[in-house]
Amino acid sequence: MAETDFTRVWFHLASDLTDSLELNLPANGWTSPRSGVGETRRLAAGRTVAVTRPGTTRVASVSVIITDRDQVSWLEEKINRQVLVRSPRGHRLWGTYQVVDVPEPTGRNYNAICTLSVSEVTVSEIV
Amino acid sequence: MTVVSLISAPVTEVSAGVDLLTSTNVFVEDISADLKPDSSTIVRNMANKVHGTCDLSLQRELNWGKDRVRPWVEISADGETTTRWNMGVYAMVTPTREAGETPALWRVQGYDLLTVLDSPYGSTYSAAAGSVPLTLIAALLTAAGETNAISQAGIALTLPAAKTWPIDQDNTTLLIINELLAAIGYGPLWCDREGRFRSDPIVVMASKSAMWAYDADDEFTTTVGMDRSVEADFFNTPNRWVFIRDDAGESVGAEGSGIYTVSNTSTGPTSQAGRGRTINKIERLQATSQAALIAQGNAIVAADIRGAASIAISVQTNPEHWHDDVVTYVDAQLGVSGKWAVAEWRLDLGGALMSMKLESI
Repeated sequence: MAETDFTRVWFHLASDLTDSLELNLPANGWTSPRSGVGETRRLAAGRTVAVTRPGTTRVASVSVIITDRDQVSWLEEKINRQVLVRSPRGHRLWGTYQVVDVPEPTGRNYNAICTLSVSEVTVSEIV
Repeated sequence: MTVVSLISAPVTEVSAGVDLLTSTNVFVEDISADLKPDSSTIVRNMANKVHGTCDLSLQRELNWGKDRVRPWVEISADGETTTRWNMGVYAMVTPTREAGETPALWRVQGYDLLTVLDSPYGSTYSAAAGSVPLTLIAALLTAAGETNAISQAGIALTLPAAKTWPIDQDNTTLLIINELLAAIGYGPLWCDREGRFRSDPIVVMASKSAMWAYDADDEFTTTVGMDRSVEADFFNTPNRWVFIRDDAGESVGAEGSGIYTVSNTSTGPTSQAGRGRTINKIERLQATSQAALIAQGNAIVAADIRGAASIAISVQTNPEHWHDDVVTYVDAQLGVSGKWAVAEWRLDLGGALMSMKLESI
């Protein structure tokens, strides 16, 4: 029998960290690849070169389990706001997301999976 | 690592930024964090009155009518060698801001500092017979608050006759300076990478050394892009030129003394032999001497012939290019090889291919 391992993820509004939301995270629900910026370019005579730009970007794909309407409202209010997302392994990611897409539940229980793409922004955490 | 091997390296990283300067070119602040390089370009056209322009996207409001900016480009190869090039100083003139963008974004066009001089002088300007054009020009630049880096090789040359520019909308400070420069056989004023004003005695482009070698056929080192084309333009390209020294109070002279004639009888497709007819161009020039007349005339001849054939190419970002460059270009597909003058280049601060227009010399 398949077993699902639920764990937690926390969202905080960056401007008021006490304004937060705790959600369940399905197994493998958090991936956060880091990408370089650039392109491979074809030149005359068939030569290929790579032209890159400084820095890298990270976009975290965070799937959360929504269990009530208030959670959807909280997430929708924070669209295009700066948020802090903490993973169960202690990963902290400052970023922003543009889309909250939650399917309407069809059964008796409100138990929908919503995937957020959180684009990392550079933040100084000097205290 | 040499600059050549850096720019033609197989893996390069291109970064760009902008320095904010005062109206006297004093560094204020690095505002690179406010620049969107992907939608920012630097363009230099050698035939324009004001050669350099820039289009920048900035996420910061500047004192547009007063502040100046100095864009820069940095290239590193495989993270090892980094070289920086300043890409000129520009006065910002036409900021545009669209509603609804957060943070606010200004798209602004800037012109190089020749634009500071490209306004009417404001009164009648007179240069006495015997005065030294380079000294007069130095005084004009000082009055404008700009830095004079003009070659002083012609400091001994004087005006043979008095010259007056009456108060007029068309008589700009830039026009006065360029006519004084032409009179002693100097090329038009231009601005260097640091916003200093320069000019040198005219040298025919064909005798200049190539500053870069582009080879579209070299599969290991080429920096030339895939898209390129060659164009010929025979429309009214002259093949006989008569230049007449045009000084007030002097009668039209004779060949060798006030008149300089050049005939292209057989060189290239626009020659008299190539066209099967003679196409004349008569031009009056102000010159302090026959030598200055010849220098100006040769530059005009070279420019007219240059325009008869041109190549449009794209190359990897090459910030070594600046003003009146000569390059060698080899391309078996286009069937061209030899020295070419760079008539225009457009450098994308986001690292996209740099477009160039080359003209035959």
